[in-house]
Amino acid sequence: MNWFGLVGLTVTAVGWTCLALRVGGFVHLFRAGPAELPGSRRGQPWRRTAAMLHEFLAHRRLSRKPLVAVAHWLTMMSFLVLVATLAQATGQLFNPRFELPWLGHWLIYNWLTELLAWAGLGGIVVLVAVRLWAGRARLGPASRFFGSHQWRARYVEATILAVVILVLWLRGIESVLAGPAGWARFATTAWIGRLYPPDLSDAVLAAWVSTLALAKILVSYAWMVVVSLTPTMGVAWHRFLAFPNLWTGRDPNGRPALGGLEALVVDGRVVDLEDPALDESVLERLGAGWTADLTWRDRLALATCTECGRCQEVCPVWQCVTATLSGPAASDTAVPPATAAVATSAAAPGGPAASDTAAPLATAAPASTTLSPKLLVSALRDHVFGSEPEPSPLVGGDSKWAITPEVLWACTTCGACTAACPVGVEHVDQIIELRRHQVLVAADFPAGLGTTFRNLERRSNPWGMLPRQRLDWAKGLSFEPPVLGQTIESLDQVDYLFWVGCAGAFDERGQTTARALAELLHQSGVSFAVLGEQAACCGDPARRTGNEALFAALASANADYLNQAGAKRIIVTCAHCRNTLANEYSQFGGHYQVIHHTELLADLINQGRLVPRNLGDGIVQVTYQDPCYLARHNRQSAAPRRLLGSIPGLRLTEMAQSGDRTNCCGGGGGRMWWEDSGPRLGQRRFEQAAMTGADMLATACPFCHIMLADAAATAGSDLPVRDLAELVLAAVSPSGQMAEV
Amino acid sequence: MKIIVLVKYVPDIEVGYRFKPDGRLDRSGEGLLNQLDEYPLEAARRLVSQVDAAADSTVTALTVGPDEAEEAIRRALQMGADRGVHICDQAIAGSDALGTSLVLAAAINQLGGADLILCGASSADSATSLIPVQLAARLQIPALTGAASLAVNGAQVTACRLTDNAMIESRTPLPALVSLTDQAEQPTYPSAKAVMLARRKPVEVYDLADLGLAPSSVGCDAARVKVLGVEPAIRRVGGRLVDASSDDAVAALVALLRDNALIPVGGGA
Ligand code: SF4
Ligand code: SF4
Repeated sequence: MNWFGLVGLTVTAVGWTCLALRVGGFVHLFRAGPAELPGSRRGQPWRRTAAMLHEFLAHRRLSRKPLVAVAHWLTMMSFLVLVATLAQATGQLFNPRFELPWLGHWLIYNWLTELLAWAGLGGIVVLVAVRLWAGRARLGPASRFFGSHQWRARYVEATILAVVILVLWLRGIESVLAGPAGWARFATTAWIGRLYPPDLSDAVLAAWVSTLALAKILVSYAWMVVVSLTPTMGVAWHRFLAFPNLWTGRDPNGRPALGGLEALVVDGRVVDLEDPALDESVLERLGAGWTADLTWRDRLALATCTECGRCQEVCPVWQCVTATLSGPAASDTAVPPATAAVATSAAAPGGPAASDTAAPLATAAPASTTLSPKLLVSALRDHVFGSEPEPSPLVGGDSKWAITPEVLWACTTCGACTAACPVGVEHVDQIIELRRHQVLVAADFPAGLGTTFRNLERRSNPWGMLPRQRLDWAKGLSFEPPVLGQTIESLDQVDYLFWVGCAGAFDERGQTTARALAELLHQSGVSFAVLGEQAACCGDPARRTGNEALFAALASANADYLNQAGAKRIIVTCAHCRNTLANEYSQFGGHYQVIHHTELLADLINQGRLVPRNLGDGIVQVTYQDPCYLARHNRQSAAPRRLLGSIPGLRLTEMAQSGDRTNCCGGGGGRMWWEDSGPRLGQRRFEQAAMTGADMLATACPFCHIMLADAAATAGSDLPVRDLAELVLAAVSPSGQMAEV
Repeated sequence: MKIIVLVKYVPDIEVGYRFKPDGRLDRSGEGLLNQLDEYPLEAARRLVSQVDAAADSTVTALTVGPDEAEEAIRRALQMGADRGVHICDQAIAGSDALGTSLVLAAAINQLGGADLILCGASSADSATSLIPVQLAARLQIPALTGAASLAVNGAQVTACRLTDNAMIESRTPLPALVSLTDQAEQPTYPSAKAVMLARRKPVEVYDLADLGLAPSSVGCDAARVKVLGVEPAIRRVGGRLVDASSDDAVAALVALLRDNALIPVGGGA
């Protein structure tokens, strides 16, 4: 036994032992989490496997940064094959001429190893460069790496860099030892060997091999020990955990967890809050209030997060705060340079100085009160893996990892984070789980929300308007729309139910949209009926703020009523109604075809039943705000564009963030319903729209409409904000003029 | 500490309300817990959460009203009351404030009294604000009315009342009655947990016989205050604006005033 071998085998043993202990620790910790709804995370295994492999091989979710995608793909692939070189190095400690049995002489294996080693070298160099550039200190909070543990990432990168260099270097010397006969195997590394003086003795070369092999082993197992001791090092762990995490995503087809939310579940069972026999212990455990409430999948996802910051950089709340910090010249690409330099390190929300980015930040908004999905995930993760003497609440508690209420309630559930996350972290669901606990158990939430809840409870709409005002919107129509239960008895008599929605019924702008759509349907001969005083809120504001009890009450009553009325095809003008009716009512026995008005109008134009002409008022350029719940949560961004394209003489000028990458107006997630001193998302989005130079800002959701029109008023801008239905109505009218609001 | 909170079930005024021919309110429509009563419930909840949990504090929600009034009790239980007491008797219908306070006093005595009685400053329907003072008089305890906040220290209660130009702080020994306005701490919207647990809390129902009161002492016939008639209030119509930036603003204003006979017509100055 030589010293090299002894040291090498010792670190190998230590490395694998640490890894085994840590894997055991992970399994233990994950299993301690409560169960998920049966089938929800493991059903359809083949589909899941296919989706995971697709993600793995195609790197779909990294496609927004093509250079990083390629570099990461190469680095990732090199890791797979270079594991074999670790075995090779172990053998070389004992015999410098060691070859892996069978594989070692196989030409293809050798070439593949070389190819991947070079590819890995190229890849990791790019990744290091990207991290240095995108994380440069002067970006401050505008950097996606702001608040990430940068030194952890640098350590991982350094390890990979060292390993691939050592692999190539070793092969260079091996090629000399192998003599000319073996050169074919070392097609791309032999030149390294030739850099050594040709008269070097075999003994010297052998010593080089053993030394480099030992170095490779030390570097590799040091990494193994370090990551085993640091379970919160997602930047290292994701290379293992991303696979199970993607496989167990909410959608078996591997799409991001958007659209409808999951029902309220405790211990693998859906909780019926109307059930009088509900166990008291279950009532304590609604939503996520403590680490013990986080399911195994929640925990797995938290451990998988690589702190890459893709979610942070697209979060409208974070963007809005960092843009404000760097002055009004907010660029659409969300990389505004921070101006003044105040060295600070970002803390995870309320947590320890999570960052070793010495980040300059102008008049720093403390990270503990600014929502970043990444920092929220890091805080939860540290909470799960941290050891606290007493369990402490996840939100608002004294723990250094507690999430502050400001952070929790700032989220608009826009889903940008979840759509951007390459490893399948499901932020929106996680945030809703936290909110559910705050509302259903702790009764601790923004005061303004209490009014909304009362309004929904008493008046079945968030505005608190009276049921008898439900049909006020229809005053001034050129015809009387049939009302279910008054003028018609069954929906079988008409093509569609027009679900006017609360905004359509009670908000002035929403009413204008509702009237415009009703006129258009009437003109094109589409028969429809509306609901009368029985109409109630779809429940989205309650569900997105965690009030599952209220949501269930509204949704089940609505679904019963709709089913009884024979509703099959429902038209909506609201992206939130669209999402809730189509994706969430099935949980209450309601299955409908829900059609957003932009889709229907585009079809009617296509069929020639509506013929748009020029718009009056000199409207030439229009920019369009994609509602998050239409474009991202429900992947519908084509119909509105088709519709705009069909109006002669109109040009669509896109904002930088559009389509499924749209930027939130600030009205989702219940944020429409209470005011606080937080960032004004609507204003920022409106500025982005105004910067396109368009003559009009078109929307397709009443919440976007309200938020952006209010922002326009605040900004003193005369850029009109209109719904697409209003645009079409003007375009089909002889004058081309818009109705006054 | 034993706290009794008086709650009332009132018609949903916003939705609309009607009077019967005899001038009494038609209570057949939708109703709810009187909104102002949520403030004493919130105050009670906060008081018992401050007091050492071991010192067995109870909050009892007490109401006098028809069967439907149980809904007000239920809401009170959701908002933190531990127990509900509902005095329900046909004979009580049509009572005036004196009659109602008589029933409440008897009920409170039946319950063995209380250290602190809390109530809203007035009810949304009759809005007389008489019950708190009449009840305190009948129980011979001090009353601090119209309070914006209260605090209990030892055996005393301190209440703060806000008037247009002063803040008045008063203190009195317990037992006492305090009525609260909507300047007090905002009521918390109950959690689903609280709503669910409220269903399991007891509600006791008593009639006049249980309280030892004769039916003739209350109700319509015993009422000494009679409602003579009810007229809907005259609705104000929206004001008119005269654009001051226009040149003929003064003329327009004068014309408006004259046309509405608000200034003498003709030059009689
Ligand atoms: S859903 Fe939107 S607002 Fe909420 S954390 Fe994600 S990106 Fe931010
Ligand atoms: S949650 Fe996803 S997108 Fe956000 S930092 Fe973690 S890995 Fe990146």
